[in-house]
Amino acid sequence: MKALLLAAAMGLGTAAAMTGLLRGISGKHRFRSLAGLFGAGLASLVALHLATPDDLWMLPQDVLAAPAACDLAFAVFLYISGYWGGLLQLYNLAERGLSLRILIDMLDAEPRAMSAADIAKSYGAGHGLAWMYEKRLAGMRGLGLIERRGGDVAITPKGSRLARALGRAQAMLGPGRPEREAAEE
Amino acid sequence: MTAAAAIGVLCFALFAGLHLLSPRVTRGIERGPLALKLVPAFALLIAVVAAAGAPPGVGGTITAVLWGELAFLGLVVLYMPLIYTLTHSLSVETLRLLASRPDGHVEEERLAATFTSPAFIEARLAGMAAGGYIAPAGSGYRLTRRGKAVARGFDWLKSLWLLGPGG
Repeated sequence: MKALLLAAAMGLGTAAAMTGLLRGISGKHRFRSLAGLFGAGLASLVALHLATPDDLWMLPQDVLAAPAACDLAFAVFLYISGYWGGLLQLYNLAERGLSLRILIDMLDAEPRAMSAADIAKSYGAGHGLAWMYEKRLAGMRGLGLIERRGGDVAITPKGSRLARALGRAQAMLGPGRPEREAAEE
Repeated sequence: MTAAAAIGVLCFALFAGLHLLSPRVTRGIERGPLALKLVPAFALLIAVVAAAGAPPGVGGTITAVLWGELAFLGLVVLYMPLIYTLTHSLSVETLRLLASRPDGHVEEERLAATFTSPAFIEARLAGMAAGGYIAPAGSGYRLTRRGKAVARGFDWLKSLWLLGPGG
């Protein structure tokens, strides 16, 4: 139970710190700051776990996990999954999620129904899908995965290696990717 | 407690196996809705098995169930975004498309037209409708109750974290 309580407390603290950080830091430095926040949170969790007694001065004997090393490992696992699978995913979805942005645009358009053409035009609070895609291309150029060659977009060697790895992973997943088929029509 | 966590890990392995294999077995099952059905079913199974094998006492039972459930859910929240990125990310699809060309490049306008085309958006909307977030209405779509709840929640989060319009 100590693992759960400490991981939950550290998770709440991290969420509060993340909110303060995102409200105070502009776009470019956000991701590096969030990675730093994760590292600091994880180190604090381990230090707190090692510095406190197994019963946290209050827990009954029957809720204690033995041995203490397992409890520490579980606390670390909970914190990692809560951060990378929870907080950071929320951030990614809220910041970059295509489907989510479509839902928000549809909420703004209520009670009117929206067609695919409406969505393409009004996506991202009126910026349009073309604006969104240019942002994605700029992000990939920033990571060195693609480059501009005249009026073309070309994949770099680094991008090719990543694409091969992604292709192997997608092949493992099997069928069920209708968007790709639609995009390539 | 470690036995309860091991049950959670084992159930995750079963969940991931079923989730990964489902489209190979049948094309009629979408992964998103399947996960929404499988997660509660496995959570119930874990609660029953972990409680049955828990040390005596209410505290021990509660702790064992929590360890089993959290081990399972912790792995699920790490696994699902990975799968979603592989199947839905525009950046991933763009790289795959470029890599599939013999010369590795495509005219920028054509590339943008591909990934912002009505056919592409229709495919995404169909997936969202299958997930129960939107429903057909006339010639377009409208939010369902679930879609409204998600949209409102994230709209609030975007304003709390001072995020931009998205994309």
